[in-house]
Amino acid sequence: MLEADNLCLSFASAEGEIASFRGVSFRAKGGELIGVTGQSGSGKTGLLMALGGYLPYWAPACELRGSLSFSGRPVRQGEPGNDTAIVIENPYNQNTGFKSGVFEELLVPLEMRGIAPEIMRASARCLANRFGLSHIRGSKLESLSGGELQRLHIASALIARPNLLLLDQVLAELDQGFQQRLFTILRSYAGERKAVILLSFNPGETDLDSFDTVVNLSRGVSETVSKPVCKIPAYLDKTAPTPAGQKPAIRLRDLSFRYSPRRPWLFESLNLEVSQGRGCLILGPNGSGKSTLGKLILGILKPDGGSIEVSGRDFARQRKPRAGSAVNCAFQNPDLYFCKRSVKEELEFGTDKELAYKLANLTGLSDHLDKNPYDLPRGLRKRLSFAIAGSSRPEVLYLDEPSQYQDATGVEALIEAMRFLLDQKTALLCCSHDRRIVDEFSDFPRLVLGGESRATKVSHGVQPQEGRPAVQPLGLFGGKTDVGDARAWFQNTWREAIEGWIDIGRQRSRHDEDILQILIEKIRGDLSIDQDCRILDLGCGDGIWLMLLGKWLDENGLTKARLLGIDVQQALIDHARWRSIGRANTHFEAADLAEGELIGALCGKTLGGKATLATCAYVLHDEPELTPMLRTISDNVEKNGLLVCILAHPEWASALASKGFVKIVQRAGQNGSGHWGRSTPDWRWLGLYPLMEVQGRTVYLPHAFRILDDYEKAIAAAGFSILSVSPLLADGGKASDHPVDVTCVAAAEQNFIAHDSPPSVLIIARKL
Amino acid sequence: MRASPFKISFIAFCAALNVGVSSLVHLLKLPIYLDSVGTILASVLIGPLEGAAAGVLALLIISLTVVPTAIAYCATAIAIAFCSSFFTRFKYLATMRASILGGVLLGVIAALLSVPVTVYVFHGASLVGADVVTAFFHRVTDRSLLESVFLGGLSTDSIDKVATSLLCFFLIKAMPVRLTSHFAGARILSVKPE
Amino acid sequence: MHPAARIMLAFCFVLAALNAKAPVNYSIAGLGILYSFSIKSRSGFNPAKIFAKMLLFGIVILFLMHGLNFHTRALSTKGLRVVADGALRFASVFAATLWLVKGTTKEELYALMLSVRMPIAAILVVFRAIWFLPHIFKRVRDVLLAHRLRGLDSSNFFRRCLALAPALHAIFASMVLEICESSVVMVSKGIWIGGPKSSSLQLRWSCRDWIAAGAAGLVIVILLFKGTHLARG
Repeated sequence: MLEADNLCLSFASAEGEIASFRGVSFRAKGGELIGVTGQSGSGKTGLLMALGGYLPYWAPACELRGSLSFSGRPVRQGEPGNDTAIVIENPYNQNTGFKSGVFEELLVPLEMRGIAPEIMRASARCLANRFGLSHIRGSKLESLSGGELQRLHIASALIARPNLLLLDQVLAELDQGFQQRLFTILRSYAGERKAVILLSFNPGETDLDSFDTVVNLSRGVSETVSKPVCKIPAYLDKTAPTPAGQKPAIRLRDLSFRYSPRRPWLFESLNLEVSQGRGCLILGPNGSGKSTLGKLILGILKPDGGSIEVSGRDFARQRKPRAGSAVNCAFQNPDLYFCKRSVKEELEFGTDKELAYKLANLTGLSDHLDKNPYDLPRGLRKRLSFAIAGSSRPEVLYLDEPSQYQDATGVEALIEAMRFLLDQKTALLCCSHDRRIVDEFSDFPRLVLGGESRATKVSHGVQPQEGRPAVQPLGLFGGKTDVGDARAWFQNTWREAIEGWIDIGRQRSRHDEDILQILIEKIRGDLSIDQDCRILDLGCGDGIWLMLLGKWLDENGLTKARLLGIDVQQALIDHARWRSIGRANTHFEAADLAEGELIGALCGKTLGGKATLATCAYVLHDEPELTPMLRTISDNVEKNGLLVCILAHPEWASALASKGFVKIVQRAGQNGSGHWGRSTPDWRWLGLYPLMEVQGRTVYLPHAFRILDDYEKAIAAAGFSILSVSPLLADGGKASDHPVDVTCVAAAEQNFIAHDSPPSVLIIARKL
Repeated sequence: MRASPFKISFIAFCAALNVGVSSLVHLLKLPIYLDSVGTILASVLIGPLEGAAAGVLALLIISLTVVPTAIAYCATAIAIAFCSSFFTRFKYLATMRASILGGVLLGVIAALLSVPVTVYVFHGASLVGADVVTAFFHRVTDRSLLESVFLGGLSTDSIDKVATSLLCFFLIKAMPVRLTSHFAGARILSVKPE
Repeated sequence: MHPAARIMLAFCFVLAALNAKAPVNYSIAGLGILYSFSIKSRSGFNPAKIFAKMLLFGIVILFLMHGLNFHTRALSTKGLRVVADGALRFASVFAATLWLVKGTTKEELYALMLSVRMPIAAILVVFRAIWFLPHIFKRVRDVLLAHRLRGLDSSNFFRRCLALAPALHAIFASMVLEICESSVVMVSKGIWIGGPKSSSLQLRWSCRDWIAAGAAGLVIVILLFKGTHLARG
């Protein structure tokens, strides 16, 4: 399908013609995933641009020789096909600017092709879910982090269903958890569409096994590797305590920060100590606040509470950052730094020329001293910015993704330079999701940041309790595939989690039994559900809760309990998903109805019972679909008087409450509405997952309790009183940094991974 | 001429640059406004029409975000674009001296064209330029409104346009090689300095 | 409300404020200012503060130019009338613009531009420029910070002047590099594909819009009969 023969790309420059790569030949059939790799400056981007026919737009002065054809037609430069799409490595640079919302931006490629709006929405919703974007659908684009934007752009490239998809070093922005999911998505897309997907990456950034063919530009040849096995090694956190007796170079004490009083705490009581000549790795999924922490440490942002001490002085109250300051930073974007016309001048501009040259030598810049910094390839620019930042002899150096854009040599050089700086008594705070860096500095303490939506107490991440790893890598269902084991394990974890409950507001700590037990007892005792309980599961994720609940109901003789699952997004219930879990009397309703009808029908049917447990997921976010459902539900509530609901969006809660309704749940930080700021954690490790990821024994009580007051009012206004408040899932997953062997999970369960919506609190209410 | 995606983006960027640079200058608390850097860059590097588009677009943005009355000065922006493009025939932005001279000329032209708008539409207050200087001329030295607006404009505009020209001169000189290929047709890049 | 109806209304508001008889025009402009400053922004963009600052500045300047006589240190009635007229002109335009900017989202603007059959290149250039703006502001801040950390001092006037050129160079070079890449993405998103484009947001012309358009038409008709303020001098 894609045939490249003896390709050679060269650029005209002042010194004559420079070859970027030559002699590249490969062939790809439809459905193949091809990796393109090579060192920094080896022409990865150039190759992708050439394959798509984008060369004249990208760099008019370059010349391509050799023959190139796609689906039998030669690729003409400057005339890219309509079935080609490209995603570049800088996520901030790919918005069309037409739109301000995430969802709308996703739709642009369809708009440009004149697709009718009704058709657009359905396909966009599906993609948004698969890319874990549904919780930020209503957000504004400017509030997204780099990783989230990059996901959006990849989804947006897929939405037009291209036959040739080019992804240029997109892995750099994505956290490890999502990288694996991306491969799964790309595989299934390529297979289904018979499309060719090319993904370029830096050597060492990902496993070669993930690809059908890998084109290695360093050698200018293509090599074929065996069929992929998609194995993702999980890694354990090897945490060593900070050596005692040393003066800390930087100390964060109870640092708290949030962007505005209306948004959740990004950090709450964050504690961290790094001594001179030591380092700390800052890990966390996209949008977890790594860059924000850097800004706090630099003094660009002011903390809302706590202090930042650098060498014993309170740094948080300092004034504007300036040169020679005790803290310096190498920003993620290297292009901000350069103000001179050659690398040499740049280096000599630093406060310590000798150190600057030493760092430049270590990072392999010595061959490029006379070039304009902006003419260097990106990897080298990044290293130059590192050398510049390091040469000011700061006491604390904050490195934002230092290994971004780096090939293996680049990473090695950087690591050497970082070691050198450590010897110079500089404390390094290094945030990275690059495994190479993380592995290299495995002796460093790690600060694992969660998502913005969580009120994180991450102090344990740095100094974990004795004998307990800060983060446990877990398989789905705790690595259990048997539902009994999973449940036992799950309950244990849960109990542990409850023991660690923090008292917030009126809620006393709960040290008592299994919360599921409480929940069931409440339902049984207070609400007198003894038969014919039906469970309506709209959407995914929350369903796991109901499944467990339903199972319990079964075991306790409530045999008529019904569990209905609707995966609205695929407009069909996924039988396998439930069957594989082994629930015997689960009853499924599958229908080829439109979403709204399906929901309406099922509501009517299920609500015929005495009580209904319902969970509604984000997929129902759109008002037009919600309205008929609400009508049906509220009609039935009149008759039945009880409903337990797990809802994805706070506004539903009020919508339901206003219809004389019961209530309802708030999940941690979920936000479709912008109330709580964007919710960034990766909900992909759905359902049970987040809970297992309890750090130490601290459970992060999510914001749900903060808004409980609102709920109480809403519920009271609707004529109900709260019977119990039960925590469901305590915390969203930090799973993204802890890859899970996806292949070991049955295909059905992967559905869970593709969705996201763990609830955090279940409120059960009864009519007054 | 066919619109290419790069050109479109570059025009948009130049328009935003006009606004951005004037805000940068504001941030650095300098007494000039440099709000035609983008216009001059676009007209010199691509062409006068594109420069005019960038200038007008910048005014449109300024009037939507900072001063709604700015859009009234469209004619000035268009004139600057066409004149600066024309001046490149005389090594404007290729040599330092020509740049300074061109800057002064541009200043005069800009002042001449903005005077009628300022005087007849806004009674002398332009809100985008040298209002304080104008007020000084009008009230302290007792010149007529027309005269003082012109003098005020002239005194600030010519300094401003010289600074702008020098800045553009510097930017074009320091442009990395890989960018120059995008502006292959620009006369300015083929002129060899003396 | 349909964005076209909004624009019409804003236009008529300016016309009405500028052309009505003396007490009426000031109250129209005043009410407009009050209303436009107080409403909540739908578009997420709110330049009210800057507008207020500029408006105040304009009035002060007009007052200095016309209202106050430096030699006699007295206020002149004629001058004050000029000041008031100038303030009216500024205020009405400011109020209308603010109302438009606050009320129109990007999505609506895009849909409107499509519906009037603007070429996609023209739409793109407008939206790219709007998109670039916060980008440049951010870049300006970042570059200044990076340069400050490097030691480019901006503590006094001359140093600031010297700091300007390198900062601009960094902004220009880095952003043009990004433009090359982003123009590729624009092509990839299908902007240059010929044929009709669609919009995910569908504009509807509702009853309110008819009323707005009717009111706007009425104002124009009245003005046609009365003659405009500007024509009267």
